[in-house]
Amino acid sequence: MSGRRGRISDDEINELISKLQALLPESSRRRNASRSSASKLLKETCSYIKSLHREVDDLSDRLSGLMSTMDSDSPQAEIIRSLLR
Amino acid sequence: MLMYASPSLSMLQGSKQFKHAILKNLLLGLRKGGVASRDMSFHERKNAIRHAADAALATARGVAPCWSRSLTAELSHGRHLRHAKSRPSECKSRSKMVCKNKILRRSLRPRPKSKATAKAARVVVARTMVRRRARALREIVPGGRGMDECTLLGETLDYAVSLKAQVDAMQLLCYC
Repeated sequence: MSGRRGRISDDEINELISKLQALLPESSRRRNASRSSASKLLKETCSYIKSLHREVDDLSDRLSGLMSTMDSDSPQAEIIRSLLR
Repeated sequence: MLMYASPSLSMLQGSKQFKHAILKNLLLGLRKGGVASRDMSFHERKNAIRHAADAALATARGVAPCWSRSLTAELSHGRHLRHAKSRPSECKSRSKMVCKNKILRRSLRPRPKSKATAKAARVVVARTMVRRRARALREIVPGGRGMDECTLLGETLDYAVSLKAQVDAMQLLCYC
């Protein structure tokens, strides 16, 4: 860590680029395969994380809905009920 | 040597163990939070669930990454920073984008005198853009504001992988 001025070298960017590229969903990867700049990739990563946040939000909605029908006979409510006992 | 949050990023990706740890923690947290009680409103329950999900994620990931420690700290302060911010930042991003494009065009304008200068100019623009994108990442990765760029990128990777596992774990619960 000593001597680091808080800026990234091009080599380090390239290494992270390949790792991020491997991480992002299939569709983005194909489009950017040949000409992904670090900047584009970071933008994709930003969008990806935001979409994951939205998914967590939606799933929380869904779980809340499932739990509020606790006295219903739906199989999911029953399973969740038994898990939370 | 890159300052990664954890050397086991590849182990984390798609790891069933990690996913199940999140799920287990989530169930414990939901039980503890009394979420099954009928006295809660929809939103109270939803917030409790989200809180439990984030706590489950941070606990399962452990204290190695900075984002995980930051998330735990945020949760204990009772603030849901990421989610509270998500809407305002969406409004901001559009005006930010317009500004950014103007600035980009301005910085691309200088007429280089030689190929070497042209290349240097491109490198400068590229690094500027990276820095700008890094700023956006700082807002959405817990604890991002205190990190240097290199740490930030490593943390972002780790965080994205972990978030995916959180989503998978919650889907297991929702669609069992």
